[in-house]
Amino acid sequence: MMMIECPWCGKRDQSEFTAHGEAHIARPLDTFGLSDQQWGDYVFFRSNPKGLHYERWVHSFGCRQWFNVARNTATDEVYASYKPGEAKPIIKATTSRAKK
Amino acid sequence: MSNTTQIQTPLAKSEPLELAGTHLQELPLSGKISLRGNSSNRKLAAAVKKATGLVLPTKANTFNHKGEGYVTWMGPNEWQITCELDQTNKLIDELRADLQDIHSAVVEVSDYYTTLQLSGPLARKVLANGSAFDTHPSQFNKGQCTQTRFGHAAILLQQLSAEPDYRIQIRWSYAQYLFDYLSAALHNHATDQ
Ligand SMILES: [Zn+2]
Repeated sequence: MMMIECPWCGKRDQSEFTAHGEAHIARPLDTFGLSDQQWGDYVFFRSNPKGLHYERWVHSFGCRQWFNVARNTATDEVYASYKPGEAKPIIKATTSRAKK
Repeated sequence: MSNTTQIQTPLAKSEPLELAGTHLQELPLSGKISLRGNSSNRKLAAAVKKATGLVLPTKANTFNHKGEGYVTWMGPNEWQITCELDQTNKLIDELRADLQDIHSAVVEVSDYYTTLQLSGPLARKVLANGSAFDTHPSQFNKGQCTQTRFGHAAILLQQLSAEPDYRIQIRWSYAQYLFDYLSAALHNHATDQ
């Protein structure tokens, strides 16, 4: 079981949330100047790391707000939750539990 | 021909249940209004106060109530106002008139949901059967509310007294599912005692 902190409601069971992939992917501003490959990168390609991952979640069974979570994809450890628009927190211990 | 509509609640045929001092029943249909807006705009809280006599709760997962009137925090820019069914239209008109100048929405959702009462000593155990939400008094108490998950259903849970006395609001189409799930859980816990 994984617990996730909603920035508004506090710590809740994962089953109240829905994950929506990698966070902090800005839409390109120069949309007319983009090549097909650049569009492809923006729309389809994600980093998929083992370890620290910044991702978007929505509290779908709760307050229905979107926010960001820093999570370890190997251990499911949740390092931080933060509201949209807030800066990415710097996380140091990325694979501490994964190495065991 | 009558020009009034008879509304039958989804659980009209489900009998109230009373086991081991714990009570489960559907409550009469209430008026429900969804309110969206920015709480930092003073006009919003002022309009709610004027129409309902209640303070707009800005603290997450809390509600204010007086009699059958409730103002419930649903999200940082969303509330639900509950009232006597025959007061709904009047309340909507008042709110819309007072909020027309600000970015907001007032929508009636009365027959989208129905409300159950679950109260008594086994109420927490019954809720724990279908929900991971922590109802321990140190985490959740009188005056607090939350939207959460019970089985496959999305519910709004409000705690009215320390007893505990809960109100559980559920979408109309999920009402029978929830009632059956809760009553089965209550039967099990009452037998275990
Ligand atoms: Zn939330």
